[in-house]
Amino acid sequence: MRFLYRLTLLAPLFLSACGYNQLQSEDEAVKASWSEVLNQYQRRADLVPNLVNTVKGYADHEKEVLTQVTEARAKVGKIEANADLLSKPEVFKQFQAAQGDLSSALSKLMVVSENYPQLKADTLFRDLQAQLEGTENRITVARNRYIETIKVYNILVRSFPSNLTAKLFGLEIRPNFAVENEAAISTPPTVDFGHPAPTH
Amino acid sequence: MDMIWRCLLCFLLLSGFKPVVAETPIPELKERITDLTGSLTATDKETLDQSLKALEANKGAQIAILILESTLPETIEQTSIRVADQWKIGRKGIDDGVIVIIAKQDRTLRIEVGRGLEGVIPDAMAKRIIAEDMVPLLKEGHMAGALQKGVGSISHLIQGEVLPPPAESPSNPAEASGSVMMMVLFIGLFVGQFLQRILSPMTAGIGGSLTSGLLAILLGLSLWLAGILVVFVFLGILSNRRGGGGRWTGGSGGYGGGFGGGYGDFEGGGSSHGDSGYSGGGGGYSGGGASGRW
Repeated sequence: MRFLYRLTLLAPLFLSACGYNQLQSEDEAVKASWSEVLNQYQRRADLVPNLVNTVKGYADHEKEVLTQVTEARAKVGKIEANADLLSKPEVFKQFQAAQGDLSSALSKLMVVSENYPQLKADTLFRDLQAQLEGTENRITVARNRYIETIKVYNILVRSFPSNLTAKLFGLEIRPNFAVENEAAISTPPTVDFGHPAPTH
Repeated sequence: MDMIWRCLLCFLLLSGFKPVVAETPIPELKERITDLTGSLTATDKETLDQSLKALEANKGAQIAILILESTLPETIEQTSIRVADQWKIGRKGIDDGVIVIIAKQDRTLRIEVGRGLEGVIPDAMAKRIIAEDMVPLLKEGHMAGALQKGVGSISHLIQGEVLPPPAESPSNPAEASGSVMMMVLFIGLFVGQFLQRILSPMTAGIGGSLTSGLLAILLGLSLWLAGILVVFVFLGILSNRRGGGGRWTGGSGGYGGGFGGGYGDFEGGGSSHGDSGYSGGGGGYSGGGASGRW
């Protein structure tokens, strides 16, 4: 009994020595940064209907690109996005693929819209475009931050002695963004700096 | 054996190939306007600085300006978020900072908006400020004018937002030491127990078991109290150090007082650039804002 009493007294020291506290805080950090990623993806998905409608008003015969965007948006919406995604690598992959499709469909839409001067002059479209750009940037930032936190967490889960604690409490390695996927999505836009915009 | 060789080989290979990360170096934050290109005259800088200072004294929000030659090979967005993460312009927890960054050679610019100001400066507004206020002047080569107009518009938007007033003095120092306090308490309790165990046979020789028990408990208790005392003394020292902390950040007028006090953890870095008189307050960014080119 006395022994148990002492053990409970010592528990905080033991638990911090075996990385329990750190594991918990890193686990929480991973969840938080993942929520931010989801949050920003959601923000983008919310922009899509408005964007599609605005483009439709000026460029109705760009049916192919418009349906591509709408379909990609629908596919993204089908996958239930929450923190559980992190413990299901398969669904995580699907989610990433769907978001990647939406990314490329949206960038195609933006390229197409360049051909419509009236669309480009529309204030609503310009605001939506700025929002989309901003959101894409936020997604990149959120993803990078997720990559940073997942790195710390996964190292902690793998290395001794915290790996024992992690196993004991059922904390597993979480998926990171796949490399090929990463390259496709986060490549900075290629801008030709050779010809500066004409001054007038 | 084979395994060991493989490990060694791996190690050698890995240590040989350090990944070369090509990133634009980020200048240290010393003042509100960091001009690496020498595009602004002293008077331009002074005027801009005055308006930024006024906003900070008035609303507590911070705006910083960075002008550099080029962000290549990175995009301006990539450089900008790194600058934001390093400078931490804006107050901690309120995240009311804005960074205006111009890459002169690339002819690109960006307004990076702190998390707390994304509501009042949405991306579309930031884009408009860039496209309508700044780009036309930049095209004519008036960098100072563009900045003045841009900063004016941003300040105007911030003025319309309800923000916590600028802080005057650093606040509560106690939060960081919670775990230390717990630790000392536990140790105190332990030493007490331990002594009780050792002392009880000794005191048993002197008197009855009752007195020995009482003595031991008293001793244990006093040690426990001593532990608490140590904690308080420790806290006292800490708060003294923190109190002094006002000096390093507060030296530069009304705006600086609040910074530094907000940190929950001990960041040695805070004191090292104290003499410069300007530092970010710990504001957070999530990539909001807009970019443009001219």
